[in-house]
Amino acid sequence: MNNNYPFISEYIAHSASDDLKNRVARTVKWERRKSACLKSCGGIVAAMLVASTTIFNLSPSLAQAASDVPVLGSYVKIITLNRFVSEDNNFSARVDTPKIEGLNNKELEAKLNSEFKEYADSIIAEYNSDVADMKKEFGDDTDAHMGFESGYIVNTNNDNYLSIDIYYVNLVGSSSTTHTHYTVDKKHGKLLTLSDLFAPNADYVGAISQYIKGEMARLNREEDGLFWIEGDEMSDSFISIAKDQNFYINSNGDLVICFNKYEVAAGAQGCPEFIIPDTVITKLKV
Amino acid sequence: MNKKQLFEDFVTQNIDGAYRFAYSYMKNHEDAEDIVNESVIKALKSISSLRETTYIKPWFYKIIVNTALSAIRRKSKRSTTPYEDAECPLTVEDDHSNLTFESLTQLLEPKYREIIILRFCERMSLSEISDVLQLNENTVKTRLYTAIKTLKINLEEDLIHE
Repeated sequence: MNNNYPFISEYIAHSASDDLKNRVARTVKWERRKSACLKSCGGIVAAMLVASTTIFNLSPSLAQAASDVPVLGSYVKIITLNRFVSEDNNFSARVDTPKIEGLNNKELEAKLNSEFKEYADSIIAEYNSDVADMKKEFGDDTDAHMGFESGYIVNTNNDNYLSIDIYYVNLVGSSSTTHTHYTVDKKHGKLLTLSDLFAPNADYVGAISQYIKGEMARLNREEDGLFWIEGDEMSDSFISIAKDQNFYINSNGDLVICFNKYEVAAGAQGCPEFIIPDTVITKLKV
Repeated sequence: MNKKQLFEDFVTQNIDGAYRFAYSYMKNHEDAEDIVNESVIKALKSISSLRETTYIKPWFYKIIVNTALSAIRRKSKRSTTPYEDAECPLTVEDDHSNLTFESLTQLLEPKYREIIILRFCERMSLSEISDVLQLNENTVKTRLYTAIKTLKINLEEDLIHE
């Protein structure tokens, strides 16, 4: 066939922008990391950090300001241990590291705090290496840009529970928003997994999954939801929550099941959360 | 090399093709980029469904089609005017040997257009096209003939048959 037909040469002339290449490269990298390691890399990365040239902003006044926010009925405080800010032409990052104070279980408190710090350190180190990689690949004056933000949200801090959400948002590709929720049962001084909320042999996975499937179908129908559910064309439609699915307990005491972006829905759906009515799970609880 | 790595290499080398294919559905730059990125994520998540690695291209293009079509459905649900110029009539008046891409999209309904693109621009075999579009091969062939007749272009026989 001759390529003389203008439609063919015009079609071929469309090519992907550097931005897209960069975005896809980051998506691939992110997906690879997710499946490989995040936490286990923390230690090594923290050691590398010593040599890095980034500005650490250990701000006592800021930490002070954060801790001044009164939380009634609770002696547990969450403060910002430090804040990392970097602005370098098209590259930017902001990482807030939380620190818990006042848990009765000091061992757990120390463990969580070191986990938060390791995570923050690891993403700062990733950021630095990504910036270096991109400059190497595209030159110092590249138009390619990159940015992310990581921080924390205290969802609940009452007499019974502390729920804290460590999030990470990729500001450019928006391809990699993740939330990691930590819920502490204050009375028992225990970090909760989802299964801890239920009786040993209770089929909470089935009950919750079924409820969520119904909600996804309803949202798709009534509110233009973009959930991937069975019967759809994709092979990765939602079938069931994981045994240790991300969750938190909100200030009303309701269980909230959380998904990361692209876990169960198109990107436009963001990071979906489902409040599980007590009627669905009450019989299954401990 | 595992399948994931294979796909990563594939997508790096074929990003232009993926982009223009997504563009042929979305018809704008931003949406096309979103579709490519989302398709990459879906592909990595469902890499286990890639059984035959030589079929990586049709497999990935199928994901692009599905992602693009879902996005179009969403859009058309939201806007009052249909997103696709669905009632595009098949005209047979002009000589289209100077066919531009724009007129191709105007002349052909999406179901014909995608086949022309896959066959002539992406050089896929009929069986690969039937994989991408999840149609049987005869349907692909029939649509291809209809499209060619509509466009009144003389394509070399060997690209019509195989």
